[in-house]
Amino acid sequence: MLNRYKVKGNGERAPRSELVMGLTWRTAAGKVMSHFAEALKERRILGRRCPSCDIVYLPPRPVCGDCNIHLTDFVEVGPLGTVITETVVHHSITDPVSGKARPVPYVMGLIRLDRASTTLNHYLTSHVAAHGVRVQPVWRDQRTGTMADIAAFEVVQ
Amino acid sequence: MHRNVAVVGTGQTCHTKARDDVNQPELVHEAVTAALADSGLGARDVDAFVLSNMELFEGRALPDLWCAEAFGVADRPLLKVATGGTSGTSAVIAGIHQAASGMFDTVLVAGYEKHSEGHTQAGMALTDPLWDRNVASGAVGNFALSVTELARERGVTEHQAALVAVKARRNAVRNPHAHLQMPDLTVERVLESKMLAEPLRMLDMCPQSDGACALVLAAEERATSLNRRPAWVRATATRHDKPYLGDLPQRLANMRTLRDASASAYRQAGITDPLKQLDVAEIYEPVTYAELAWYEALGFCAEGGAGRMIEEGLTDMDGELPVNPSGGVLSSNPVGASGLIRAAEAALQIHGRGGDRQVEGATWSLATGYGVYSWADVIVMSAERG
Amino acid sequence: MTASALNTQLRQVAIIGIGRTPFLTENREQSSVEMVADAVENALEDAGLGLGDLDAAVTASVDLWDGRTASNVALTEVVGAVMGPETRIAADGLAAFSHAAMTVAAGAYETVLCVAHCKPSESDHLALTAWTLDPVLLQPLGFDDAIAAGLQAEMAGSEPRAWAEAVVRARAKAASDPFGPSLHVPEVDDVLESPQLAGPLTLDMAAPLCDGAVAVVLGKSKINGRDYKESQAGTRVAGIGYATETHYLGERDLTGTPALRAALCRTGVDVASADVIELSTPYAHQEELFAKAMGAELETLNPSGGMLGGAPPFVAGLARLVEATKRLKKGGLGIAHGTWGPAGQAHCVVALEA
Repeated sequence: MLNRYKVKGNGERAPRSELVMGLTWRTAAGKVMSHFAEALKERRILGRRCPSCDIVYLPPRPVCGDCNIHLTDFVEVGPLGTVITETVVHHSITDPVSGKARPVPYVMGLIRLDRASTTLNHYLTSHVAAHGVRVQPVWRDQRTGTMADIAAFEVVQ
Repeated sequence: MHRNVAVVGTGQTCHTKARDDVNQPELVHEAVTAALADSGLGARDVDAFVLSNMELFEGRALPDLWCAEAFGVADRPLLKVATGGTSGTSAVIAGIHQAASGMFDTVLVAGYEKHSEGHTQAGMALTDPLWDRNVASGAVGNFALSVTELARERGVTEHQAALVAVKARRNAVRNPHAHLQMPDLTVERVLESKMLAEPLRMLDMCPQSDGACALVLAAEERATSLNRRPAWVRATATRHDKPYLGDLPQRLANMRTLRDASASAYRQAGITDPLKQLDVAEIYEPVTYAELAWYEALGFCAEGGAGRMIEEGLTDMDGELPVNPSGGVLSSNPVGASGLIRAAEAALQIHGRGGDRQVEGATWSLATGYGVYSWADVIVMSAERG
Repeated sequence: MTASALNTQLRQVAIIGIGRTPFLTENREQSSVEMVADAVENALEDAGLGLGDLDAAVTASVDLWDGRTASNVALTEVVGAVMGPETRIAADGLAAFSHAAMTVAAGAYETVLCVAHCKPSESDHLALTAWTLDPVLLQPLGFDDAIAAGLQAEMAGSEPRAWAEAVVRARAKAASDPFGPSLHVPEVDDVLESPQLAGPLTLDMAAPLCDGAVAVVLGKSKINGRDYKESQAGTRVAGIGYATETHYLGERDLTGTPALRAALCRTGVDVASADVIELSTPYAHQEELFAKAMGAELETLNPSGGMLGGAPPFVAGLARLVEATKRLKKGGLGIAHGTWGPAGQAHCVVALEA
């Protein structure tokens, strides 16, 4: 049964069959994230508050998992925020959006926007040495309703 | 649970960077064959099968269909489990439930990954397309963020993390299946290794391995007829958490999922002092710093005490509670199998089949799984049926 | 091997609530998460429970169909699994249901949510099925699920007209489903003359793919003092069975469907006594084929219209369970079936008692 792949011979590397995967998914944003996307185009960032525990979720979502209740209220958060943690990335990976190797080094952080309870993962324009530094989004001129509409977060002068 | 279930046999491949000599079903077949031999069973003696694998890393779907023949029998019950890094432990727990239900007397659980055949990085980058896919920096970037937070919160140092790396890769020397075996690894070498994302260095990270692992579960008398010293499952617990990295403040320091899962498992198993009552632990440590965080989440020490634990050698092979005699995930990481390997290693310790990495007289063992941002599985096993 | 009908633990497992979303050719408005949230909410309402009452979730989905690694991570909150257990089975929802039933029978959990989702509109689903095939021997030849089905249909050796009639019957029955995709009911000749799909199968002989989610709450038939056998649902699991054949089309008995026979055998159910049988048939020739393997009469099959009326792949089996549950009268016996893989490589059967 399992001998169909055996290559007899001198122990050379077994032959490989290369298959290239070029697939596209058209993911529906859904009601909540569509609303979020529209607001981004207007340079507004929306979270959702749980009426029971007061957590403001970013990104907004249908349910508070701690309280097991459905959410309805959108809350504007940011645009300023505080850096909670950061890192300098030296290891390049293939960027999933561009398909190219990401130039390194670059700085990333977890940022808590004002009025949000959760943090968001994004690029920082410079290596901030201490957490607690205040930052603001650098908006792109052309916005399409994704988090890429923010190029990065920069230190507030 | 309705019936007692035990692990009666295990098997795994020698995990390595690339297994160019086998395809995926053949890789699985190696582990299955070894597990069956260890259990004294033929494939036809097994009532049901569970397969664990993160197939998107290899660019596939429903790999259980292609790998069906790896189990050596056709037209049998087979289900595929896929839950990120916890796939392996998740599959074992699924198998335990299936055997405990009375539907099946023996269940074989296998898991594998053949990273060399895919593009793991591409797979890891496929996060939420509407939220963080454009910044996703894979496991390394995400861990670096959490590790920075952990260091700040708990004061763990890169030196302490390096000690974890040294322990893992030196333990691995005594495990013939391990991928990274580094008998001469030192703290200095770890601290000199390439910086990937501050403060994580190359030698702080787990590898990507090609490998497979399998174990056989059996219920009640079936178990006792197959193994003189079965590893009875005394507790299982699973906890998932919110979906986004930013939802989990102080992710590593808190790890509320692992805390709660282990607390629940200890309660089920009657463990009040894990450091004393457990003889060996195989915990899923994706990076060195995580192992330190897990010591606290698992109640091996008080908050802030993890650094001292590793410095004083309490988790070394000759320490109070050996952690990861196998070398852990830091030494071998075929993702779909990594959790299974933890369970298999925890079980074979009780079987007394640990060879050079055997913890003398191991009676109570712990296996944990970790996945995505903070999913946790905990399994407690014992030679005592309970 | 014990036929599960003898399994007393399993027979304590009851269906406490059922829920679904509409099945739409394209659900543009909702994300997968929102779809699942709706199905779950409906099932919980039916059960008279809240998200916090669940002990565990068993979900069914496939990363490649969702276009996302560990895609079930998106569902945690809407299935009540924050700080709780969730297991994801990568197979048809009915297989996830079978596993969920085993966890309850095992005494691991008391109240379990089972939910399956699929949004084929978000990708070229048929092209994705190629990635389930042996990448050296089958995939490079250009195989996919349709071609495998075409081969099976060719070997089945029946008249395509009978298959076209099955399609028309199904669409007619499904037309009265307010949650169905509202597809038009074709004439037999329309089906026969639709473009060729693979072998003797035409495009209209493939089950119309829909976006949708189905959720079922199961639990011990006595929970919190309430005896669910008396409640409005309270249909009990009488038997479960599932099996996977070998992969290579040339080695399989494509018309004998041994996995279906094995799955059916494991449920221990007597098909002749069944009042409702809901079969999954991704392709029209399979209705006849699977019915024959089960010893079921074509006329009594699929009162809902079945998959040929339109269903989400990988949800269809669980949808069949919901349809069977809805139609069972007190004391009745029902059978639900799901299948996945090329030309039905894997099958799952669940027997229900009301």
